[in-house]
Order: sequence, then structure tokens, then C-alpha cells
Amino acid sequence: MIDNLAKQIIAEGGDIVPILISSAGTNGMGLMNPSIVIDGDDILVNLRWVDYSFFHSEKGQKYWSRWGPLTYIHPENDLTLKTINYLCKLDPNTLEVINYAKIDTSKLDIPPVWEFHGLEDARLVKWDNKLYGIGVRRDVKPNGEGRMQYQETEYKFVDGCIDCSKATEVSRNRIQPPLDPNSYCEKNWMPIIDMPHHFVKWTNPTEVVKANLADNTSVQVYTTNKFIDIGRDLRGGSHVIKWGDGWLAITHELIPAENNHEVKGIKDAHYLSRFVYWNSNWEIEKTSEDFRFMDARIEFTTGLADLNDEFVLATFGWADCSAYTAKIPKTLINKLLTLTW
Amino acid sequence: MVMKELIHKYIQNPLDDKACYDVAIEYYRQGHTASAMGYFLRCAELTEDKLLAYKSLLYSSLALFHQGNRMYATTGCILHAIAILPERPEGWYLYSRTLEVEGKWQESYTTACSAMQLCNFNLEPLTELEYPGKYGFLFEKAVTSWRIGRSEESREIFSHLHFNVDMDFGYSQLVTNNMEFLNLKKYLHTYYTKDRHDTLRWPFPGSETIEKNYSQSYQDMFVLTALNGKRNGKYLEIGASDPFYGNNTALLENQFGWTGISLEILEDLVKDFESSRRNKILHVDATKIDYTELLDSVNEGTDWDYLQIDCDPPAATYEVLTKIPFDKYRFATITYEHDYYADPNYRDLSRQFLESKGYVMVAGNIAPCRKSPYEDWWVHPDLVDSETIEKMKLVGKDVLKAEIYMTLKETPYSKHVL
Repeated sequence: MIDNLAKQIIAEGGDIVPILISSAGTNGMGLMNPSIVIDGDDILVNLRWVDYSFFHSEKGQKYWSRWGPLTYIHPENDLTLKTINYLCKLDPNTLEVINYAKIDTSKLDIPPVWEFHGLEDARLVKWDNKLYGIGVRRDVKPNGEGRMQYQETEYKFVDGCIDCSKATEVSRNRIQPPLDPNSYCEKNWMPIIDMPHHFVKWTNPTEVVKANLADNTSVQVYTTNKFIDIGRDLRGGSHVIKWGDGWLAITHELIPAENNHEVKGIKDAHYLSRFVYWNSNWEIEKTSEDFRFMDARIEFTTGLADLNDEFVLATFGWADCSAYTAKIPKTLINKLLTLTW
Repeated sequence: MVMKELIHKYIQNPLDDKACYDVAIEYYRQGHTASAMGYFLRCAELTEDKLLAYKSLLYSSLALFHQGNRMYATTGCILHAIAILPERPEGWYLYSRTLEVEGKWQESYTTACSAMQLCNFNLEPLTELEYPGKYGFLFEKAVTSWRIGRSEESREIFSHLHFNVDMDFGYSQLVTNNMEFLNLKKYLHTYYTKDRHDTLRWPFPGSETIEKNYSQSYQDMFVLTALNGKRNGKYLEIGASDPFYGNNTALLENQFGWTGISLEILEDLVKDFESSRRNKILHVDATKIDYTELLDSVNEGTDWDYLQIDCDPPAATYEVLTKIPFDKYRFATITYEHDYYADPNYRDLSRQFLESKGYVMVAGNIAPCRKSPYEDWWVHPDLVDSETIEKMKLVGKDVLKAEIYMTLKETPYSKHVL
């Protein structure tokens, strides 16, 4: 396991850059799980705001909250999980945020009927000349049923910056899963950048689906029986980008906490990430070892974009409270893809 | 970009407690309290340095406190910190404050009382953790004792804080607000009363007959001292406020026969003044007045005895100062309220201005208590006896409590000694 990939990235000529917006309108709460898209000369990021403070007693676990080592600290009079999304523009040279706008969803919002409000972990894509954030929404059914939702956002630039008052959701589509209409929660479908409206719905064995916005359905377009015995589920993470003849993504894995916390009913978790390479037949051919970018137990990569011949950009959340862009040398990724399947 | 540099330092060794702490502090400084808490917690877990763990946990508590309505988690972090260094006061103070904000008055009061007994106050205080110093516990006791039926104790502590304790501006304001709420307004001004005559630093003819004064900080006594108890003088009072409470000309008018003009912007105060005072008051915006025209219209000569300028905000006071026709009119004494404690931009400007007009500052940074400098007192060397100027000249950089300047003995109020 690589517990500090960021150090290797920097050592090999890459970079790690914090994604920061002003705290003036955020009440200081967590900015996390950013998702990046490159649109011509513009680099855009969807940045997720949540109204909890993520309390994770990680190293040594000496200082639990009264509810355990991992706790989402909500306002005590409102335990709903609220998500707001910001659209940010990055400087192509420094990768710092130039300007940003809160995405106004009020036109299409309806009163939430479940306790998670808003579009969660939206992956940003530019398909059909439209900007979509595609994530899970769970507030429209009383049982919290989750479905992937397209959020089309209109925005405009003024003098090269995002017009802060003009990032508006103009349409939303709730996509049903292809086979099981009773599936409880669909999330973390990974958009395939060069195949509009296609997603890796499940990684291992791989299942690729295509969404149809005309009727909000989806269909399986590819499945394989090839299963790699990696010991854990490979769960959705970043975008899927073209990589040689195949495709590349960063997935995440959930591993059980030590000390039998789950057995005792104490919430705790670890995530690990992994590069996954598919060949042109959508078969997993190579993976990296599992890794952490910056040594937090909860890190989640929700963006991957091909910057140029030398680098990709990956965006990830750290401990559900901070967001970073990693500028990763492609040579490093190829070196990391050491496990062949 | 500071944050990026700190993150890169952290990346070089994510197990370095200090690197975690530095990132946390920068996030905290920028107001990203959730991010800060993530790194503070990590630092606390990693470090072997008890003080660093203590500070990290208290910062975590402050992050949660300022996010609002997360009191269980806030107090949880504080209690972790107290368990590490129970002799330090900061954690106890934040605990008492958090309980007080939560409305747990009894718990807050008991925490403050206990901490005052248990803590080692000789340790260098960590004021960056919003710990104001030992008086913070007294403040919490004062607030919470009122709520649990100990109203007399509350009054005594607030009065003690007001009179005897150097507090920062925020706490001074909170104490003032609470004293007004508790009907302790009479203590907010430093009154002179006849029984203190033998403590006056510079008695003057007629001072022995004064039963009590009215000014907030001895301004009326200063004017009479500088002018040796002058009778039938004349004043221009800009920003009169209440006709008696804290008023600088009521004593001059009532007991020393002075005449003059007062200006006041608030209509209710003007009506009160008109119904209770003999001299003239104008209901005007002092920044809009042509003072040459006003003073010319009075036709009382070009030498006046007293000019008071006290408007709000300090910028308005300074604006008015620059409108006074000092080249035509002279004032023997001036009390100028620069409110330096609230806005530091105008004190030095006013000093430069008045010096350029030939005035001599005899007392600077006057304050009603040991902090909050708000006024300078000036005289004109051609209109005030030079020996008097010399003996009254006490200009320092520090805050000058008016009572200490004007008398030989402070009003005792030391029941709650820190």
C-alpha cells in the first residue's frame, strides 16, 4: 500500500494544489470531493459543500467524539445532510481557483423528503456542449432511494472568470438503473469522458451502461465475466479517461476498521484508492497497488482529466473536509500500474 | 500561496505533528474551520507534545463552536484537552463559556469557580485560544451568577471588572452592556462627589461647593481646574447628548454661571435638554454647520472658554474639528473625543491638527477605566495660565484613567481581587 502518493507525485515533477474558495459564504464547513473537467482552455471544478464537520480520530484513535472515532458533526438541531455545489474555474498554470459561483438549483428544487439533501459527489462532464454534474440524489423518495442525476448547469464567463451570479441549474434528469428498478441506491457511476452518456456502473466485473436523457433510462452496453480477485470491491471514483488503447480511472475500496468497531456497532471506516486500467475490450488488464494520496483514512477521488501529453489532473477530497488537485505525471501512473490481471 | 507551501511540507511527512498543526492553523486563519479541525485532530493524535495536543484539541473545539450549534462535540474536544493539561486555564475557560452559551448556568458557574481555585495562573496564557486571561472566569461568573439567583454577586463582579480590571475592548463592551442591563448604569461613569474633595489633585476656587459632577470622565472638573474655577465662562458643546447624565456643561451652567451653545443631532435629547437646561441647544447635524456663521451670530467675542467635540463615529468628530474656524476663534480648553479604542485612524490626525493651531495637549488618551482611550484634553497657551499648564501637563502614550489624573486616590472597588 502506498500511503503517500502525493510525495511521489511532487518528486516526479507533479503538483498538489489546494482547492479553496472564500469561507465567507460557507460557514467554514467542509469543501470536498471535487470533480474536474477540461473544456478547451478552461479547467472547471465542481466543489461539494456539506454542512457537517467530519470528525475522524484516525491515528492512535485517542480522541473520539462521544459517538465514536468517526462522526459527522451536524448542527444539533438539524441532522440532515445538506450538499451545495460550487462551480470553480482554475488557473491553467497554477491550478488555483480563479473564481467560482454557487450553483443555483432553486428553479428545480422541490421540498426534500429524505434526510440527504442535494446532489452528492457530482462528477463534472461536458457532453453535447452542455455542462453536467452527475451524482446521486436521494431526497426525492421518502425511503431515500438514490438515483444518478444529471444536473445541467448554465454558466458564463466575464473577463475570463465565472460570473458569480450566473451558474444555474436549468434541467435535471433522474436516471433509472438498467436492470433492477428496485435497486435502493445507485451512486458513483463513473462517466467515460470520450463516450458521452456512458458510465462504468460497476468496475469488477466491469459493467458499462448508457443513459438516455430522453426517457431517463439506462441500458447495459457491456458486461464481462472477467473478475479480478483483488480481495475487495472496487467502487466508483473518478471519471474514466482514454489511456492508450484503453481507459483509466481511480476507484476506491472500503476496508474494515481495526478493533472490531463494526461488531461493536461503532462507526469507522478506511478508504483506499487504486488506478484501474481497462483494455480496449473493457477488461481490467492492470491496476496499481492501493494507495492514499495524503495519508488520510477517508480520501475520495471524484475527478480525473487528461491535461496534456505529460500530465493528468485528479481531484480528491481529504477527510471529507478539504479538496485538492493532483497534477500527476503520466509516466508515474504507468509505473504504478504494476499489477497485471 | 501559503496554504500550498504548508500542504507540501505536510506531504513530505504526513506524520509530522507540527506540519499538521501548521496546515490546521492556516485553514483556521482563513475561516475553513472544518478543514482546520481535520488537521488539528490529526496533530493531536500524532503528537507526543502535551501542549501541542492540548492546543490542537482546543482549536478543534473552537472550530466547532464557531460553526454553531455543535455543543456536544465542542465540549467533547474541550474535555479531552483538559484531561491532558488540567492545570491550564484555557480549557476550563472555554468549557465555562460554552456551558454559559448553552444556557447551562449552574454548570458554567461551578466550572468557573472551580477553575479559579484549581488552575495555575502563573503559566503564560494562550490568548490565541480566545482565552482573555483570568478575568474571563470572573466574567463567566458574573453572567451566570445572575442567572442562578446570585444577583448581588453578579453586580459586584461586573462593577469590579469595570473599575479594576484591564480588559480588552470586546469584554469592556460586554461588561458595559451587562451593567446597563443590570441597572448599574451609575457605575459606568466615574463621578466626582463632594466627599472626595480632599482627594482632588488640583482644587480650585469653588470646588469645595460642588456636590457632584456630571461628566463621564471628569471633563467638567478639568475645564474648571484649567481655568481656576472660572465663573460666567462660555462654551461651545458639539454633541451634547443627555442634558445631565455624562454631560460636560451641566455643572458649568448650573453652578458656575456659564452660558453657551450646545449642538445635538438626536431630537429626543434636544427636547430633554430644552426642558431641563437654561442654555441654548440647537437640533442640528454638527457636520453640516457653518461654525464661523454660528459663532459670529453669537457675537460674544473671539475667545471662548471651552470647546467640546464628541460626535459619532470618530470620522465625524474629526470632520467637525476641521470645520471649526480656529484662525478666528480661540478656545481656552478643548476636550476632543477621538475614540481611539474603537477607530485608531483619527487620534493622530486630530493631534496634528490641533498642534498646528497652537494648542497644547495636557492630557492624552483619557479613559473612564484602564483601557479604551477615547479623549484628549487641550488648552490654549495664551488663554490658560502657564503655571497651570505645566502642572497639568501629563501626556503619555499609555491610557490615562481620568480619575487617576484628576484625583490622588482611586475609588476603591476591589472586593473581587484577581
